[in-house]
Amino acid sequence: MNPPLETPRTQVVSVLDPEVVAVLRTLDEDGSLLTELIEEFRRDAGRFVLEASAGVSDLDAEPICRAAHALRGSSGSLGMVGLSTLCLEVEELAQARRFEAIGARLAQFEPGVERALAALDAFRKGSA
Amino acid sequence: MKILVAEDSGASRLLLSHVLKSAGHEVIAEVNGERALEVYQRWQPAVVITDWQMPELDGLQLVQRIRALRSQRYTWIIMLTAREFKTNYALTMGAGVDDYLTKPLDVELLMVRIQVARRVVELSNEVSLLKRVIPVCMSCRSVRDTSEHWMELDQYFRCQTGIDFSHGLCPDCFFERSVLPELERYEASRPVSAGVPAPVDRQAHPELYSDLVNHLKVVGDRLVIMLRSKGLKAGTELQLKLLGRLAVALGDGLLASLASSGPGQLHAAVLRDELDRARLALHPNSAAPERPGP
Repeated sequence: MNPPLETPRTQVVSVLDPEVVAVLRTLDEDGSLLTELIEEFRRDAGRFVLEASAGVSDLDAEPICRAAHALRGSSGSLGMVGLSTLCLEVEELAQARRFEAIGARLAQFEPGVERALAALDAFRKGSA
Repeated sequence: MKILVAEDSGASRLLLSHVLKSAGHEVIAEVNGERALEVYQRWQPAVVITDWQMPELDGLQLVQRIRALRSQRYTWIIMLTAREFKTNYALTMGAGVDDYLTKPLDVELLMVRIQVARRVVELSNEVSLLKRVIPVCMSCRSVRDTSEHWMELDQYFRCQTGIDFSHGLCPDCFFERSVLPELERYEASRPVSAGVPAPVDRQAHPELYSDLVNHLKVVGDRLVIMLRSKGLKAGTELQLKLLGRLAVALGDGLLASLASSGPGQLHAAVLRDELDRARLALHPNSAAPERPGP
């Protein structure tokens, strides 16, 4: 029997890391970089959800682990700390083959992505 | 620098490319190891930055394939991954990775590492340039550089490496340009008895005699240095022949017999001792016995 689910760490993590966002600001002279990054990240996140969901359905941990790992890197690079932590949780749960818990995390995932992207977009508009 | 990025995440790929291009680098970014390898082979980048976990060919396999190509120019490879450094870096370094950075991407740290990469790649290119076959003109010894320009050898190396040259004569050229003409002049002017020219008359030709003594010292010194550092066989045939001719010109029977007995039959220590004795005998202030007259 699986151990009980821990409290998701994402509940106590903020959406964006201000230091990373400050670096992105210096890189983005006209706001176009952030616009493109938001689009690319939305595609990455969509791919993650598809691959992770398929993994849960097939009870196959490997694609879930791989997808979560990939998205953890890119979300962290964009300063999306909450989302990055959620990806780490999914990766660890996949390694432990706790598919039920992964399903629960995936349910939080889409709203998490939207929250992070909205925060980044608001920042983009504010800095443009 | 030409930098190839292999990264399957679109956002990470875009961010990395933007950062590198902003710093003035040429960048090609690919979505997996397989495509990155194709680009690598035709584009020959100076630096590869690769994610580890990728579809088709992962980062570690990409690195191994690149290293197996044994390119003439060295490629600096940076692994940029979300995998923990401590438990993974030894494996990646063993596969041929030069540097390891963990995600999330730290832009400042990346740029510092790229500076290091540039330094190493430039140094490595200089070394490989010096190691490769350099086209040299058979006639005038000029060297052709990579832009098809011909230049003198020392100028070529100065351009490629910043090395400066002092100019002098190597022992063989010194013998050829300076010692041999004097010997030939002497041999042409002296009576020959049983195929051997008579020794120089010290009283009648003090300048020639003095020159030949000096040459003998130089030849002897060079030979002794070679014998001490590399063994008897390192003494060149030319030097041994010269030694013999000088000895004949100076009337030193001992040196003549030493030189004519050939390098293969002489023991280095014996020859060294004999040359030392000969130099002492020829030195104006030495207490050596009088040289035989002509």
